[in-house]
Amino acid sequence: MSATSLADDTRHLALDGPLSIYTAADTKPQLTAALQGAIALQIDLSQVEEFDCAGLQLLLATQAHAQRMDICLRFIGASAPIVELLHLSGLAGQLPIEEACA
Amino acid sequence: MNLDSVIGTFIAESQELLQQMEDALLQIEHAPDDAERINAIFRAAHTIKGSAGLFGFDSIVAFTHVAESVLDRVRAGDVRFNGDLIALMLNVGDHLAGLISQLASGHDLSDLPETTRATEAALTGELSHYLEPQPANTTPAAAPDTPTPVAGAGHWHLSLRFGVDTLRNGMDPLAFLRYLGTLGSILHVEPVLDHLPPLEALDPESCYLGLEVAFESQADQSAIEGAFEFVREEGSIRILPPQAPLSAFRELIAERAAEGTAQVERLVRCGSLAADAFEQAAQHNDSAHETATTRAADTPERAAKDNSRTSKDANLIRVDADKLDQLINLVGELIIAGANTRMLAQRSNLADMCESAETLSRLVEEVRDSALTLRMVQIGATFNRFQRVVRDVSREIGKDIVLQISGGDTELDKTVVEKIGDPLTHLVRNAMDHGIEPAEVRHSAGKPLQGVVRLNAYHEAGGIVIEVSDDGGGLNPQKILAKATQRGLVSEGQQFGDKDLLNLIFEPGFSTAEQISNLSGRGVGMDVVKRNITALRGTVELDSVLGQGTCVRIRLPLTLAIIDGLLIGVGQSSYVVPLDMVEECIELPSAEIAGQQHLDLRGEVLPFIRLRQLFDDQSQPPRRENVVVVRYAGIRAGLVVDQLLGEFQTVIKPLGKVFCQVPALSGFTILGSGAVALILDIPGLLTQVTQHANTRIAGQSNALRSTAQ
Repeated sequence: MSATSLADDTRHLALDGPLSIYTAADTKPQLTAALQGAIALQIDLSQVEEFDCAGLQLLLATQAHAQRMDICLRFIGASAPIVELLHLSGLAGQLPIEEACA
Repeated sequence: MNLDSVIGTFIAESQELLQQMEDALLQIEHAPDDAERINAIFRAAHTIKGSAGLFGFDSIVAFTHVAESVLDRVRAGDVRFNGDLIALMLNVGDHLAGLISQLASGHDLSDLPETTRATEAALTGELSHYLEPQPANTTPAAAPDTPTPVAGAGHWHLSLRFGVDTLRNGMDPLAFLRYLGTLGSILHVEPVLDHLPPLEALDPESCYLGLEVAFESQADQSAIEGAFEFVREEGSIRILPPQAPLSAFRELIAERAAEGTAQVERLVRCGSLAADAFEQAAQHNDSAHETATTRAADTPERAAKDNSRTSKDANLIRVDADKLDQLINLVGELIIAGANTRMLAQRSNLADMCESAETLSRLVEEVRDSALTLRMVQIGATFNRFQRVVRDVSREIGKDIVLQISGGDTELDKTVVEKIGDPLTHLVRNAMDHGIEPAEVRHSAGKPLQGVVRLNAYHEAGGIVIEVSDDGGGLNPQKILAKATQRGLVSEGQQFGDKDLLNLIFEPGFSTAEQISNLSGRGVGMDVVKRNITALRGTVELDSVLGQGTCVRIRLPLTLAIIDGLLIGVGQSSYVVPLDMVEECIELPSAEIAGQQHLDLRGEVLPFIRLRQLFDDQSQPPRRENVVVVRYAGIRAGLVVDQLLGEFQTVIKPLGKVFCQVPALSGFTILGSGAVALILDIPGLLTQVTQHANTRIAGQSNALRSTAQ
């Protein structure tokens, strides 16, 4: 997992491995740090191998936070577990994930 | 995860719960409205159903579900506990216990014996009577003729709010959706994000998500409810069947009042609630708020109660008995090693060393004592089981008998507790069957009609005493003497004290009951009781006052692992005799009885065994030999030994299989010096003595004469 700043002030955070109850406690500080003072944030989810309710809550809370702070947040690169869970929970519309860019 | 061991836990837990259920049922007989007990019974049934569902024991789930529904109605106050219902529930418990033991013995539930199936069908039939007058709320779909307006659509509506710890407990709300998918098809899901806090306040491991689900399925309510078995307690799971009445939705909205109109909108979006019903429902929102507040008021109370229960549970740890045995074993080794150290210290003549060794052995003793108490359990649980026995037997034999229990908190070794159950059952049944007189006899004797059987336990001098007493007719010593003479157990003209006479009933083949019932009185009882208790190194005696009652007193050692012994020496070897069997020690009266097998002990014949001969010790006997007089089960004999080495705390270690055929040895122990001392099996030795006596019975009179000279 790494956070890098691209030239156009968009921060980039890539999450990988499991994003679940087992990692949620560690992932939250990463998300908070990435959001801190950001103008635009891009979170790459394409390498997330495991996704559960805890992960989902984190992404939703991150989204809500970004909205409140006027941060332009984009989720990109949905991995299969994420797509399945969003579909299952009826949240696909609420948590749009864009195609991963090359 | 090893499924077998988990199922083992399930079996143990279920048995425990069934026991609790039975206890509560028996107590509720006296207080039919005790809400706490009713809840305890319900919880037991509920938990068994839940865990059984987890393992897919569907027949248990189905059966328990019916019982649970009845209990739920009792809880709701629709049905009241009476004698019949309690009897029925006890049978339900028995049947469940039967199913569980079927599982425990490794059988499959599908190949139940025919009788068990018949019992189950009969019980289910009886149970359903209690569900009839007003269909239980678990089957509301079966109540189409209720006049309440139908508001729901043709599918189930599930309103799910999960407890904060759901994720931490290893469950995932979304996994429930996946599971529901196997029961039917999910039409629509509305995630409830209302409770999701801002990111900075969010605890990543807590669960905030709720779900509203429109669900189409042919499954019945219990199957759908079953899916949420383990989140139901903490969260709030509401399941509305198809065509649910408007009132059900009102209730649901009332319960989710904190979520306001968003919840109503979700219901509408799910298609569960028609849009025009929305208005109606909304009108009731005000009253809903009230309901919500009252509900909120009683929740903390309940939560507090539940909490106190959990914290009490948390003080107990379930430990594998093998681990405890291993600990006790190690402590035994420690005692031996400690004794060795102490001996070496004394030999070294170093004051500091001796002092340190003394401190060490004191600590070791404390460790031993507390390790032994780990194995101690209260006898109360065993006693309470007899409530059921007394209840059933008194019905069976048509006597009004009550069981009084005292001293239930007296503790004794778990092994002893396990083994004492059978003899106690025998004694209690005996007391009820033969002890307590029929009502007419009691009446004419001026006694209260209700007979009393008492179980009492207390500690006494390093042992425990268990008393089984009744206020019945008592035993007639003369009748016992007559019977004993008739059976040839005593010879004519023999003199007995009353107490000795009474204790004759422990002799094999003795029964004073004039009438044999199917419970007891076949004359195989008391000697078996006595044998079982002696096997635990205990004793049993009987007191009786004619016309006032009988009391059987059982004395047991606190533990089976460590005994006080008398250390004796023969040649180079040491032996241990359990101290409680030693009556006295005397010097062997000079050599003139050499070659004899008896000696004269204050005018009585005392047969003796020379341990030197018994163990074929080739060493030269010392000039003076000693006799240890031991007594067990009324037989007395002497053991001729070289030296008396004093009292010795003995950790009993079992002998290997090779030696198990040697009748004179019951185990061994290790002395401080590291040498091995064999523990003599006194009961075994005494049997040898009596057998010898019988084979030489012809020559006995001669022997007697020569001893007397």
